[in-house]
Amino acid sequence: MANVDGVHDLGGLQGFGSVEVEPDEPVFHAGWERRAFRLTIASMIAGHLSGRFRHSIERMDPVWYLESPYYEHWLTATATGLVEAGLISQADLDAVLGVPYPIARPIRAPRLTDPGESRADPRHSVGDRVRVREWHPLGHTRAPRYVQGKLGSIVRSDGAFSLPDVEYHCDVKRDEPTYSVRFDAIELWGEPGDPVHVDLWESYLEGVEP
Amino acid sequence: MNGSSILDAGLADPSLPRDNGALVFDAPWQGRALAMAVLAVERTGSEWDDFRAELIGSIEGEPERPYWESWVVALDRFLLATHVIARTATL
Amino acid sequence: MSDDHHHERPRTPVEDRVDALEALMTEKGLLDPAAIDSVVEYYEHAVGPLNGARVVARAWSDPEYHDRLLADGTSAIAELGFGGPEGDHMVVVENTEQVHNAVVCTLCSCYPWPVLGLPPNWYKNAPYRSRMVREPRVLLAEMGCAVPEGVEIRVWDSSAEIRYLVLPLRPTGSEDLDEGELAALVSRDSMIGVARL
Repeated sequence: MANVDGVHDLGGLQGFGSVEVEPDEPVFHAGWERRAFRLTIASMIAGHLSGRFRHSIERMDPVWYLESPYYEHWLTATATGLVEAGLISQADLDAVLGVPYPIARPIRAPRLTDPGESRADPRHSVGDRVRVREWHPLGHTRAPRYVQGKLGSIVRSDGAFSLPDVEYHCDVKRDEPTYSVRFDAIELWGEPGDPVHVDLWESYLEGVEP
Repeated sequence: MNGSSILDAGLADPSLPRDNGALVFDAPWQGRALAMAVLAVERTGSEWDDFRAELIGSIEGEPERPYWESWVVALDRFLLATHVIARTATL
Repeated sequence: MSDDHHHERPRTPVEDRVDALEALMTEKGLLDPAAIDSVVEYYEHAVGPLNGARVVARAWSDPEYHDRLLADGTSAIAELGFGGPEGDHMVVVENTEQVHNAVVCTLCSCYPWPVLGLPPNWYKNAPYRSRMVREPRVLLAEMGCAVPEGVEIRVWDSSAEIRYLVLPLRPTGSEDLDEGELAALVSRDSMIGVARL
């Protein structure tokens, strides 16, 4: 089962219907949401979730992910993270709940021993044309499918940050420059429309000859 | 007791785990700093804007300093100003 | 028992699963109530769109602040005492007569907490996340935000570390208002880009 080619990567998918806005929406709709938020914050503050929170959510069963309320994603990712950190066990969770306690599916991407070299100097400048690489890794990434393989231009250079594809699967981080890249609607969807800007790490991009 | 010593000394510890995307904090001590500020505001019967005023002053005094370090300075000043702590040594 | 019972859609109410995890974390000493409760309270009550509204009002009132805000969003926002998690790297995008900006996180729910608080459900759910990059003009119109033809819509997908705040156009007729009065005009939705003031 693919992880990054997961249903969380929603940009451009069709069929979801209208955006439902709840007037005067409270921060938490029910006590359980606040309690789930609290458990997550507690785990993050204590450093127990070891930088894989988003990937845990992405590894939830796809139908469960789409059907469940937002804070259920947080609850599940927290339980998953604590189990994977060895701080609680699946057996303990099952015993307290009384039935199997569902968490996200296991990580399938291999652990990286070599993160590659950190870079701070940007290879690309504002105005450069770039193409987003196309690939389908088993692990976490932050290049949405709707821009993979697409041609865009750099509009902003944002400095170097830890590459999630490495950080989520390695004990050592790799920093890389990041950019905001502008894509025309005709390039993304084959129809005229308004441009979309996506923030991308340097290794997601290939330079294109002008 | 000096306010800053209440927190762990791990202010610049590069070995602290960092949650990618900084969903909450870069390091656990920041969460504790946040918690302390909220508790301090509550227990002194102050308004959040009282603490925020200290934070604004602290950032203005040293704009290049990292946000969370300015927060700790502000917390120290706030605790002094609300008489929660007394200065026993000059840093 | 098949291992899939541990990964497939649950059959227990979410409240029971919150109870179970909370009990287990408490038993294992992984929960420090006083500190955690105050952090939850901070995010529930001490941060919210009024923070962003103050930033916008300041930018409308003070041209030098406006320029600093566009040049370095993080520092300018920190001048008002706002910053921290999910706001460490802010970029402010300005609406003009020619440009309307709108922000989305297609991959999850990235949102500038220090200036807007925690995001509403519609921002985090599938319809907004899937459609905003595909048909922003249609979606904005559906949401009650009609962007005039000839005004370019720029969608910003917060897929990396940058968090975005939209600086809305100052409403006409607001020239004599002070900063506090201006802040009261600024809606959360206008700072996400799904409303025009």
